[in-house]
Amino acid sequence: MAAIPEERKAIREARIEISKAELEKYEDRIAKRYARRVRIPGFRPGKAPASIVKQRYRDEILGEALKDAIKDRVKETFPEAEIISEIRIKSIDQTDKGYEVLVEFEVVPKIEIPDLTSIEAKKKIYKISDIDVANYIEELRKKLAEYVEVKDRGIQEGDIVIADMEEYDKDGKLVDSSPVRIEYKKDELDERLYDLLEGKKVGDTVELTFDDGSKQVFKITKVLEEKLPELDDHFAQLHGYTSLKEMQEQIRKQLEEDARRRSEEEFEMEIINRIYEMYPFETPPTFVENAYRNLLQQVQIPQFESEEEKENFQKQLIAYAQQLVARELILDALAKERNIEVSEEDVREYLKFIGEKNPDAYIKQAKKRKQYDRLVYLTRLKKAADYLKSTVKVEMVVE
Amino acid sequence: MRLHDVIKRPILTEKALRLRDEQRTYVFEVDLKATKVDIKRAVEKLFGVKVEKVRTLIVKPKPRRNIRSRRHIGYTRHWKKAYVKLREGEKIEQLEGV
Repeated sequence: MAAIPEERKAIREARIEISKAELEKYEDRIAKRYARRVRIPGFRPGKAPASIVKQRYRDEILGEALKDAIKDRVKETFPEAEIISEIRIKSIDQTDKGYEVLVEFEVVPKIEIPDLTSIEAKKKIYKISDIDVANYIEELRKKLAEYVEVKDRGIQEGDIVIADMEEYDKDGKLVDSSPVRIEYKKDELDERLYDLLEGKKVGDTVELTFDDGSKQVFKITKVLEEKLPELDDHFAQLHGYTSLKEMQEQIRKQLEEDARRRSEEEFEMEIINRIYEMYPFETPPTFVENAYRNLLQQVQIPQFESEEEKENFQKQLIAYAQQLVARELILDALAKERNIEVSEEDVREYLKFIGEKNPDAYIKQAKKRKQYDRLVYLTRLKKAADYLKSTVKVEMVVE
Repeated sequence: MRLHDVIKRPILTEKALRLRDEQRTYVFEVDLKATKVDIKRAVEKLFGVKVEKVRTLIVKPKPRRNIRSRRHIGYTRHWKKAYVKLREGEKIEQLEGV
């Protein structure tokens, strides 16, 4: 990827000078502010003169004055920059004239929108087949499956095996002993253990030895068979449908809607990625961190078996958070560039789109809680995304 | 008695600042044994000003209490306070900035 130009970077660094005279003005202002709230012996609250306050709270006032002076100076130096983070002081040097400070801060990078008609993007269309519907229903059946103990036959594919497992080290010393639950499935179980267990019955013992001489001994105590519920109207009624036919139709509709949404989302991300590749920019770390935190609340965090697995998961989530931030910045820039306006009707439509059943009540609540602006913002992004999708050249691909 | 032993510290309170600004009167903590004449001389020498009048008083010890238990735990020290009025047009530069 080509180097990112300065205006499209999110982290800026600047060296600024603050003279003693200038700093004194800030100190006076802050001392006056302090004087209103500090208590100094010999003075009624708020009556101590600024000069005395300045003497007593010299370090605190100097710190705040420097902070304010730096903030104002950065704003003066970069009037066009939209600063979105604290201004971090990287180094500070005292000189004869005053202070020389090296600061770092985050800004919203400049987003450039290319000629959208020049972008060609693939839109995947996902077809829902009878097999997809059947698979979905099969999953529902498995959730309601019962496990029945079997004694008269050997272990078969799909059974659950309960065994007492004893683990020995290479010297034959017992290191662990615990009951285990084994799902007897060819594609999930260790191949050797699968073969050893095949056809075995309750009371049988199998021994799994490893290259280093250690071994595991499994004594089968129970074999359970999965009994799926019958696929009939009664099963459909358990899930809130009147008949099996209706259940199949409704599930098909739901899967089709999911597929359509997925197709739209992927198409949108494809266009966003194209724009990003043409005019790359830095995503502000503060935004990414917020998006990452939101994701953490939304996703189900799996159990990690190792630190590496955990790190990989975090990396993936951060990469996704970066993508979401890039999307939002691009759509926001597009909305501003094309002057996309949002009416209350648009907000209502947006709420319906995200599945809100009573948009009017939602809008009323949002206004009451002063969150309506956020709704307008999200609606504007949605409108920008729709505009984007309707403007670029589309190549349909049926999956 | 040495000049620096006579004047111990200037008193900077709301009242002291008001007296300074309105009546050219400065307030000091002085040595318990210092006389009005000692104080007058000390102020004139130390700050290079002309003194019109000196008034003194002994600040009485006040009972000290433990903040938590509120029990009486002795007394604060007693000390001498001096109100030093300068002649018309005079001021102590060192105490003006505060």
